[in-house]
Amino acid sequence: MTAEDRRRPPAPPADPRPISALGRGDGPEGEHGAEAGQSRPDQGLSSERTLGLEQVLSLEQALGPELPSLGRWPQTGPSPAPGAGRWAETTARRLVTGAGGLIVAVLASVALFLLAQGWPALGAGAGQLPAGATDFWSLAWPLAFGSIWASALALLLAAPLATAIALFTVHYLPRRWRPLLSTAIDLLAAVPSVIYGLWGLMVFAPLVAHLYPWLNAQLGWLPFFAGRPSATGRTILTAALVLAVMIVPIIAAVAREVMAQTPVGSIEAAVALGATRWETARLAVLPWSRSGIVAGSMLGLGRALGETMAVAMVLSPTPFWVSLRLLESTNPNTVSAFIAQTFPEAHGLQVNSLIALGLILFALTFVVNALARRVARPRTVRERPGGGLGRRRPALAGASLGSGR
Amino acid sequence: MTQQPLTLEQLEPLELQAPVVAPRRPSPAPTATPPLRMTDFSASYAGRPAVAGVTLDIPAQSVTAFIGPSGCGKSTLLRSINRLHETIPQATTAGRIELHGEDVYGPGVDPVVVRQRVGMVFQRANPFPAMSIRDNVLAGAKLRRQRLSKTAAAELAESALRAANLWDEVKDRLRQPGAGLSGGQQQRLCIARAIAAQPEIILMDEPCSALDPISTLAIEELMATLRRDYTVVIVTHNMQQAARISDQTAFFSASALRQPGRLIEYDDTTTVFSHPGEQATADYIAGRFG
Ligand SMILES: Nc1ncnc2c1ncn2[C@@H]1O[C@H](COP(=O)(O)OP(=O)(O)O)[C@@H](O)[C@H]1O
Ligand SMILES: [Mg+2]
Repeated sequence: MTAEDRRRPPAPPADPRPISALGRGDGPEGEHGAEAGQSRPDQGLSSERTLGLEQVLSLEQALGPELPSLGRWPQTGPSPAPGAGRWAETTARRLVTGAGGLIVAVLASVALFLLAQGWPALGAGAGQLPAGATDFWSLAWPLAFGSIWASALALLLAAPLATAIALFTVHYLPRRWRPLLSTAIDLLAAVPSVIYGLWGLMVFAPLVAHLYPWLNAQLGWLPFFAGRPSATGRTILTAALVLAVMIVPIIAAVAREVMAQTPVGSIEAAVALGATRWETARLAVLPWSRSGIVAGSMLGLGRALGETMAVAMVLSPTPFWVSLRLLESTNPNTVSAFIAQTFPEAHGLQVNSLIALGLILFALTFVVNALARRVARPRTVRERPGGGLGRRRPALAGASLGSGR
Repeated sequence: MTQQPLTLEQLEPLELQAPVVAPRRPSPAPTATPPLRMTDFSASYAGRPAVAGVTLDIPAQSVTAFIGPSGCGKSTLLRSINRLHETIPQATTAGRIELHGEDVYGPGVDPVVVRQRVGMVFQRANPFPAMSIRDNVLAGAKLRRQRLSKTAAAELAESALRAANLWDEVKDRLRQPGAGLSGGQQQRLCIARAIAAQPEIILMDEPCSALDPISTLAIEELMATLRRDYTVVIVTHNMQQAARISDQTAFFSASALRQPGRLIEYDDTTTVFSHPGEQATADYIAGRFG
């Protein structure tokens, strides 16, 4: 330890209050003030508060005195102003709490619906299931495989391309052209999937159908490209390519926003060391935006997993088919496309089995989302006083960073 | 003896073999062109000059301080030397800056090569946050060399960290992220990173202004040793610091608000501080403005 370390003033203590306690409002906080022997003008209000959800949300604060780590409501400071301000405060609080509660309720209702309606299908036997399946799992697992396989392929193709597009937009493109490309990408992200389905079916599939025999000849020694290539081009690879086209703008948009936040200090550090443009990207921009790119990719993966229309239109599936081959005319189907294709004709337990498939899809996307949250956690680089990454300077675009070697 | 101007091609292979930190410097000759020469140099932002008409020579193996009130273009001038200025849109320059007699802004000069020959330390420490201490130090060196053997890399990292007075504090945690160091240590890490790239000149833009006094002292002590091997140009707002650490002092000031900064006086530090030739310099040093 150096003298420097020892003399550094201690960091200010982290604010232990939970975010939910940061609003200076009414309610349980007022009660704490009272417990601590402090009278506050708003005590009457807390007895009016009867909303169940509100109470759940403020549980943390109610536990406050028992759990010191959760912190206390500050007991000093100005009292909130009475009158209209208080009324607005209360109303706003109830509205936003209601909105938050609503979304939780909807989510819970969807999950309950899937569970309750899907459950009976798990015991269904031959004759009761769609597509002539003999039991639910023999129906479900090829579809789950198809969904994961197509989405993974799409992600594999889309993530590098989207990262390259984002890097080009932020780091290579002259500043004045940036909004143009950004808008174009954002527009692509908003195109309805049925349009991608039409395009994939009528333009893209026939196009790649000409390419597949060549791919088969060149790379046929790999199991993925083996077999007899499809003549129509409506294969799992085509579906994955269309999915990739759909999710590239999503990933690119997220990656672009993160890359644009790269601290100027880091970029200038690289440039001043004599980094070329690509080296600057490698040293400063990409490490900074890594977690953002992953988060964007997970967002895209979620979209690809759930995508129904485009896949249903492009893919020509074979029931119960599981294969890693990409070019053949027999292909696995995806969960969502299967549900959409089968639902109009379904009756009885068949409907329940489709709902159970929906539950599987729900769980899949849930897992993907949870993973995305994990990797996209805010970066944990500590900023020390006097250290740090430097202020942002919204510059360094379209300028001569050097021609490179 | 006539001095041939050195070209970049001559400089590069010379150093690629040198395994340890050594500043790239042509062999000293009595009539050598100075490592840094500015001739009627101006730099502008969107047509508005920030600093204008600067002419000065900076001698080798010395510390030169740039002082002057805020906004008189010291940073701009410093950033023009390694062509960082032009990375800002619409930023332009006029006049000449020569590195060992070679025009930095000459036709066909690659700014990337210029930046490899000129090291820079910024006001706020900016180690690469995702990199370990060791990789931070070697970042610049790795850009210049195709391959750096394991032992050569270890030696280079150690000698650069020793030169930056940081070795003893970090030698047990070279694999840990540079962002975990204190502010002063981060700044010395940045100095080590600049040194490891083996520049001809090191530029420092208020390297201590964000640091506490103890860290500042550590860096000032470092300057005294750096001066033996390197040509250092440092911008500082601290008069005592300029007086303590520099051999030459250049005082810049603008005649009025929104006017470009100009070089008012440039001389040995002792002269500038004891017998300034200009009233403005005397006033600034005495703290009467700025
Ligand atoms: N990125 C920029 N864009 C436009 N003007 C700038 C920029 N940076 C600095 N300036 C202007 O250039 C002048 C000199 O700034 P600077 O070189 O930072 O001065 P100093 O380092 O001496 O305080 C100031 O008037 C400042 O407003
Ligand atoms: Mg400055």
